[in-house]
Amino acid sequence: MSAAPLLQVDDVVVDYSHGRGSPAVDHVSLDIPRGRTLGLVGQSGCGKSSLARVVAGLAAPTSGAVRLGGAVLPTPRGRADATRIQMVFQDPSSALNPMHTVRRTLTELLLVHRRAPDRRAATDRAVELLELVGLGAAVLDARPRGLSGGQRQRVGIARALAVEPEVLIADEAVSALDVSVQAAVLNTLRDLGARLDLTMLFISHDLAVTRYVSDELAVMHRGRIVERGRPDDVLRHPRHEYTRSLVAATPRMDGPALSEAEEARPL
Amino acid sequence: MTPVLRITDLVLETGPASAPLRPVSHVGFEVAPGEAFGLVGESGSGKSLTLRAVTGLLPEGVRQAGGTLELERDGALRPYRFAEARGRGIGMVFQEPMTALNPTMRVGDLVTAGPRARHGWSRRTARSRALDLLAEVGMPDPEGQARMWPHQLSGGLRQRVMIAMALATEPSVLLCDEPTTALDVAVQDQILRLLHRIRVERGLSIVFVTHDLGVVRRLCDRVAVMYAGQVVETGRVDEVFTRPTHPYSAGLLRSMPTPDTPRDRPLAAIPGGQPGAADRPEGCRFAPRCAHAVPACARLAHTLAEVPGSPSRSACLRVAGLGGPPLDRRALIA
Amino acid sequence: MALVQVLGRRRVRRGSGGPALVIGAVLLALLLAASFAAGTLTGHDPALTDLTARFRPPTAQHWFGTDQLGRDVLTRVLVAAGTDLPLALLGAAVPAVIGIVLGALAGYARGWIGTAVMRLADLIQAFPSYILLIVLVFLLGPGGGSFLVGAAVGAWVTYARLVRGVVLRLRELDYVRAAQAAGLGHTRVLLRHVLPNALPQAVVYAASDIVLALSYLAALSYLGLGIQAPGIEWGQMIAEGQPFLRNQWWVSVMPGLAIILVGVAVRLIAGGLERRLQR
Repeated sequence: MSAAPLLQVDDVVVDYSHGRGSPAVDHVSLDIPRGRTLGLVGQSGCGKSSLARVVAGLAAPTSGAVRLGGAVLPTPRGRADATRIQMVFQDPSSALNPMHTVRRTLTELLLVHRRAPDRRAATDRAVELLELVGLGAAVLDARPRGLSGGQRQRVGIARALAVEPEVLIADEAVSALDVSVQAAVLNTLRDLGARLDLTMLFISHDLAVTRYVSDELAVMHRGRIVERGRPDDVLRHPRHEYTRSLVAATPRMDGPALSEAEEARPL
Repeated sequence: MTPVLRITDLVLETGPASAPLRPVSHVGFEVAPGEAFGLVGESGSGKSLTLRAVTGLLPEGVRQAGGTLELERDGALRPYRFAEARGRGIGMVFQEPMTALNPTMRVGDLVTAGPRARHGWSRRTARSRALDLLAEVGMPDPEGQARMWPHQLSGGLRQRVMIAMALATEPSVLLCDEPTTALDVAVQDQILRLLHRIRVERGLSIVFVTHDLGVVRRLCDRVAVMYAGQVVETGRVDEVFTRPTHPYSAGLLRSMPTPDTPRDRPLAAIPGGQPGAADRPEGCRFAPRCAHAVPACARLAHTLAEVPGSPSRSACLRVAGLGGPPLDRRALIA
Repeated sequence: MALVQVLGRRRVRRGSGGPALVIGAVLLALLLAASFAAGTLTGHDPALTDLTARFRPPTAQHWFGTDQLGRDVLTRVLVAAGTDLPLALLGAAVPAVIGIVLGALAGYARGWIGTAVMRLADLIQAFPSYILLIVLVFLLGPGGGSFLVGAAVGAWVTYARLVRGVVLRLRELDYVRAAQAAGLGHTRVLLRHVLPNALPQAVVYAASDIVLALSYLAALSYLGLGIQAPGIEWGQMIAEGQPFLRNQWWVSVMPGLAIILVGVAVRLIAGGLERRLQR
């Protein structure tokens, strides 16, 4: 755990209100050591997606910086830097170009970024990538609407991995999936993290899901990081009031049904 | 005791009459007075369509091709007319309050608009009823919020307004379609506790449609698990969630990460995906994904049967002892 | 939501616009082919005047009758198709291409380019399109070229607005973001990821615009601002036959029917395209 951080988010502020309201991201600093996964939990609107877009280079921060291996990444990213951080998006229905086959989605990136010398080699590499995410050559010529939600999300992961990034951001990447499919995609993400020594920023509103995949957990509330620690410590001994309410509201299968005592709690 | 709502053999069809698809086939359940009943399933399982059929609000292109829908009236179950049932008897709460609330009416007027027109209430009566209802659903400032427009309220408060609207018709059953899905965890928890309280205080029955097992666990007494347009298991929540009798329910429970899931091994995912209405297999529709499937599973027709030693009813023929080598339900969660 | 899931998994056959698209396209193709072979097909010369054979009603020899100069109306209607159809197609295509390019730029780049394009669009939309067309053609002089310029100046605006709106929506979608995040250049993202998904609506619109262009052309010719004799054009034929409409109806009605036929064919094509391109 003492390894030097690969990704550093350095005092980032994202302020859409131009000083008139509270910033979406309010002086957030984070760091992730190489090969580790940081889980970022928070409700919708807490600023976690704004932060993800800054880290991915899709939006410029109002102030602060994103560093990779110690050097500041500019926004917009230059061509060489653009591939170093990639993102898996939330909505499987809009994450892939509806007109492109899986083959085209993957080979386009491989060819543009010269990860393959020609079309043939690119296709071979695309099949490797698909196998890596638990799909196979069978889906090469499918378009997104011929795929299930889980399959689309896997293609999205393969696309992110195609350019061999150092950091992978998963922004609510399993939230839109059904429970039984979500489990399989989570397994794939975790497995990939270990096999490829990926550094991951895993963002979700779901505490139990995030705990499962993360080496470290950060809780975001109203643009700030309010708590950070080892996942089980955060869940068992939440220190911040907001984290406590989040833990209390996370349902357990073996937990109690609503009881008389809970009825008495204020609504 | 007579149930307040009974659905028998409901069949819903889409597509051409010559070659229809059946998003819902032979679904049935009944809801007792004061009971919270969960209808749980993944997207495409037919749970929301089933609920919409109960209210007569089926989407364009979907038709009821079979089955009966009955509501309790004067101590007996009778088929009902939708328009009549929506005005009383049945209340509805939808997933997205912003699109379900008329944006051109103030909250106070909105809540009692329906019954006011029906019963010819005076403005004053309607207003005081509205304030009572807004207080009942836990609006922090009923007077103030009655004067607001729906868009001025937060998602959680809007959902409370929708619950107040549903209660205004004095229903005996409250039908809820994923009312907490769009909400944040903490707000979701508040709404669940509110529904629970209303149910206890009013002796109201609730039908709660959701994909979220945790929500059913917290709120409901009984549950029906739907898969590919059919009910595969039904029973008391405490039983189904701890001693499931169908491989699908068991798989769902095991695949969901909880705060206590061991982090050092993979989650127990169910391979494959739910088949769409166009490509459902013969026999048990879950068989292609099922670790316990035997050849007999592809042959025998769907039926919900008693399970030896369990209060639940299951569509798994092996667990229910209807065919194939018998399977102990304890093997499902091992 | 559940319903969308259920229906969404039904396989929709792609690449088939149904019979409508085929029938419409075949109709137009036949008409165009017939125009090139008009003389051979009918055995008449479209320009040959025969004052002894004026105003013959439709017969086996002259299916569509003859006009005030004794010319065979069917031959002339067919020959005119060779003028009307290409001009109508171009009259719809030229503004569509201009509008799509400007609209895509305005939606994707925003900034001053976007503002400039949309202000120009506002300016042009301030004039009624017919008036704009007539004024422009009047200034440029009658003829097919002037018609195309006039049509392009007035009609690109609709496409620009349409495409800009779609592009504004598309550029916020995750797959466009993903393409940007993966370091693909703006030109590539616009051409490969944004524009192809914005095109279908514009194409369907352009298909139905062919009829509008045809009616503009016919109206111009009717006013004497379109195709000039010895060129042959349907609107011009209708205008020439108008004085005789009461007793020799076929002189005007037959070219009118040709316009209606094209209208039906185009409607079929547009409808078929819409079904085919809709996802």
